[in-house]
Amino acid sequence: MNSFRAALELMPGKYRSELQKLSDKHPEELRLRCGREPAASYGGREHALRLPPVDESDLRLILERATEGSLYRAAEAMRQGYYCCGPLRIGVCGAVTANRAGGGYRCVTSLAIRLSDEHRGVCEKAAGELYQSGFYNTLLLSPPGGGKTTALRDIIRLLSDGGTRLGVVDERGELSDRVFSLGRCTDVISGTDKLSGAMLLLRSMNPQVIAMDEISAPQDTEAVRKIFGCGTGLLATAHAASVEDLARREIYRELLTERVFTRTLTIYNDGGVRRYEVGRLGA
Amino acid sequence: MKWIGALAILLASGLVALIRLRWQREEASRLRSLMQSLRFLERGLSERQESLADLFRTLTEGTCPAVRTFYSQLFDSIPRLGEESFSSVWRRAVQNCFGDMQSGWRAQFAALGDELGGSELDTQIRALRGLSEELERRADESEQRWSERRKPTLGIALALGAFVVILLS
Repeated sequence: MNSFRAALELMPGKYRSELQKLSDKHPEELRLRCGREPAASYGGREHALRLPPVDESDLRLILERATEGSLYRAAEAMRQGYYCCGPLRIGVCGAVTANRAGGGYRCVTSLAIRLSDEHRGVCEKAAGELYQSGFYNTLLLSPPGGGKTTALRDIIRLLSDGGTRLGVVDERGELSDRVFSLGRCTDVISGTDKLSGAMLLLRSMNPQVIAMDEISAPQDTEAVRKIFGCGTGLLATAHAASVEDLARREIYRELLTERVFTRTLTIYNDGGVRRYEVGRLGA
Repeated sequence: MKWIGALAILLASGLVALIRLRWQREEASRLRSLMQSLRFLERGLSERQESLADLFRTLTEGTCPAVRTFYSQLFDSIPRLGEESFSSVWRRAVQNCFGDMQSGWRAQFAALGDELGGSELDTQIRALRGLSEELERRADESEQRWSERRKPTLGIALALGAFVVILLS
């Protein structure tokens, strides 16, 4: 299902008909903040909508609908900050409980609903530069919301449909092979951390390339090193606007020094239009 | 004619007694089916953290018609969350499907709708477990009452029938 339609189905009735009118603007995100009008991101910026302000019951309703009346399913994911529901990624913000009981929030005060649709072929030209006699270990870079996950899916699919065996560690179900096509030669392991997932794939599925989203924690870099040591190709994403930005953070600096990755694919957002540039690392 | 009339009265009293016994037996059977459905919900939540929608959908295929109807009503309400609270849908479904049963456990069962679907999994599992144990106890009591009263009920009904025949003759 189209992500915009999926998002509309979660919305309280008072917002639906106005939000429906945004469909031709192809919004990338819907923002709902307690006490404020809803807002939509398109054309590279956020636009407030002329609608009644959001209240806490609206946010709770959206989460109830997203979880099919089963908030407990989202509890663990919400403690990490977001919940994936089909083609939607719902970021959650609010007053965190001290003991992180339940969903981890005493009250939810805002939601950021990221709309992901399949954009086939956006990375076709770039993907051609990532594979010659073998796959160049590649890091996809952009700031949050820049389109890394969409680009990652496209590259996975392109490589996989070209005959490369891909193993994907989909820790929080965001890559979502049930909603998006990840190619004919792709095996997906989900619901587990990146290190365990990578080890399982290496032991059982003989991947030529392992792909994962968002290397952001020390245990993620440990997974990357383990894969690197096994001679399997690596494809991953990181929050950074550029290689210089990447090098400012310690966990990435070590990976750069060790030359784990030899290529970057940086995503630039020019007023809502994305541009993909391949760069070399440690030449 | 007199004998035909007497026979009819005796048969009628026997039939009334049998209907009453059958009702008691069905009540025990419904309690047991309901208890099993709560155990199924408890396992679904504790072992697999399945969504209520998926669990309700499976329970719409059970053998007991009243329990099937109950979970069908709940399953149909999931896409309309927000138009009406889940708690009030649950209470209405309890009244619709089990309103004719003895009420001792119904209030507790109706209150379960206030717990289910929330973010605290342990609370829900505990509530399901407690209620399923209570329903099992009531189903056992109901079955025991049925087997203890079966012969006396039939005997008394036939005796009353015979008494009516004697009075009328």
